[in-house]
Amino acid sequence: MKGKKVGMVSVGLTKFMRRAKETPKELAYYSAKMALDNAGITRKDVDGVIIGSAPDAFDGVHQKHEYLTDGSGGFNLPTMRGYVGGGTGVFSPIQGWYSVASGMNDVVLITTEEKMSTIQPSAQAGFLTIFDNMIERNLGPNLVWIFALEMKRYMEKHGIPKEHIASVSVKNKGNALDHPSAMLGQKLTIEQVMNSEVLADPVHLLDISPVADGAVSFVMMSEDKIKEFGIPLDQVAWVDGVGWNVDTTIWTNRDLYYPKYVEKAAKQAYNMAGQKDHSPETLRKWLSFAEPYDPFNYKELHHLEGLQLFGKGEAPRAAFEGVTARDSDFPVTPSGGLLGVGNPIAAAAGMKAAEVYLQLTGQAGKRQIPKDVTRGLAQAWGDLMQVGTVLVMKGGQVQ
Amino acid sequence: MLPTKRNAKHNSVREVEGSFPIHFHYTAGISTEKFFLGLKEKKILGNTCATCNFTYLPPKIFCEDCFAELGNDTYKEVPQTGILESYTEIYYDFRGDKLETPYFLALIKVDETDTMFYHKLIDTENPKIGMKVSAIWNDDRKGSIHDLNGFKGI
Repeated sequence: MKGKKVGMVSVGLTKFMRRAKETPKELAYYSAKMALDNAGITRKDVDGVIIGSAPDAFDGVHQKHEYLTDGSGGFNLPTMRGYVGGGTGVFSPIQGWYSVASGMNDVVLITTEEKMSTIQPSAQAGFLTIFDNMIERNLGPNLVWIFALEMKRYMEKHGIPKEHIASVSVKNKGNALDHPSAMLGQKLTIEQVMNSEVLADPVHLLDISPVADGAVSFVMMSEDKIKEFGIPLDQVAWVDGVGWNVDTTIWTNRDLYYPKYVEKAAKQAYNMAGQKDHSPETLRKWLSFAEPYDPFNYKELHHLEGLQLFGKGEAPRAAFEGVTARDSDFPVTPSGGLLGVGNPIAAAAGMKAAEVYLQLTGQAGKRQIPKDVTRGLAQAWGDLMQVGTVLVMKGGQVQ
Repeated sequence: MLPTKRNAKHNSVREVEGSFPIHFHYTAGISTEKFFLGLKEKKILGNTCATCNFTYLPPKIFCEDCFAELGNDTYKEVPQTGILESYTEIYYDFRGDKLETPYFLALIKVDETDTMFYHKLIDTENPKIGMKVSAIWNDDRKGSIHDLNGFKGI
């Protein structure tokens, strides 16, 4: 591990839902304040602030970092915003790590926020603003359509039955029933997912995560500060490895069946943590669980393969057979994921990083993985389908 | 998309017409909703952080300095008078078109508040920084910033 040792010491999460009363800034304040309170510190103890939010189009204010600064606790402090689309929520704690590991800051407050409900006529109108404005935008793409192209390619390449992919919606929406921030925890059957409305073949309604508003914050600090504040190690998750990677920005030029950029980001993180053997069997023992990005059910599987946690084309059957259930040997998305908790873009991936912290510190309540957990991974995906961001953390008492 | 005049004239593909076709139903927010409801009733509402002894106008749900939550009991009606702290006379609009009638924008320190309030300065012949100003109300109030026509020198 390079640089100073950095620990996450608290998180704060709002409920994910249509937040008709609060502005984006007010949502950011609620989660930021919660994270500070949970760490037992105040804004006066913070020496750096990081804001993560996805396209400005969603909150409808450009330079959103400036708009969100006071709500995120950045008044009179060095403040920055990282932005890699959907990958932002995991990238923000990575920024927290390097700002502390570098010695630049000792105590950072990180907030990821998104408010998607105010945009009209729908969130997809906001996504339209991120496409190439010469060719693609004039053909009217939206994310459901282009992900349908990717999903079909993935299924075709490996001969994946749709039932195997649908099982991820059943698992994640079921897990979300135990998450207090969740907007769409549901007990479903594979048949219900299969029979839900077709949006863009092969994507059905229950294959997709719901649009939501929400915010998630974290406090991260150096080992010295953790000692100085007397924060017990069982409330700490150490950053073990980080990685991020960007593939070609021409999304049509990649073979969509496999996310190479996730592989590269993951291997960077594993190597940083000193884990040089990247075989799936070894990695599934080294990591106790994973929170891969699941805006669509097939993406969880796609990402598990990119993360080297399953061989190419092997994740769907494993999920279908229950290998990734919360009470199994290798739980995947114990939080309920974007599919169940909701998808306020940057905050959604922030929720995944928060779940790694909560599981490692035994604070996940009804979602707590029954076996001992020592090390977990959060991963997100973003920009225009070509960014992978990976964060590995380990428990406070793990050497 | 309609071609621009220039494209039509030169039969050129140098420019491609486009837009971001998005609209918003912005959430007013907890504090601004209260502020707008106040304006509708001809009241200017601010709120005070007791710890910092600092009054925000417009009100906020948190103190940006000490980060305390500012709850319902922190709101109060503030006076409708203040001091002109700065102003400018506007001659061109944001499109670059010359205005037929220039007008004044101002920063006003409303009495009993600690922040600067941005609005129009109206019906004031010889504006002077430091002069006292008073709020002028719109008769047709709907709960928006336009419920105030502006401030006038007194």
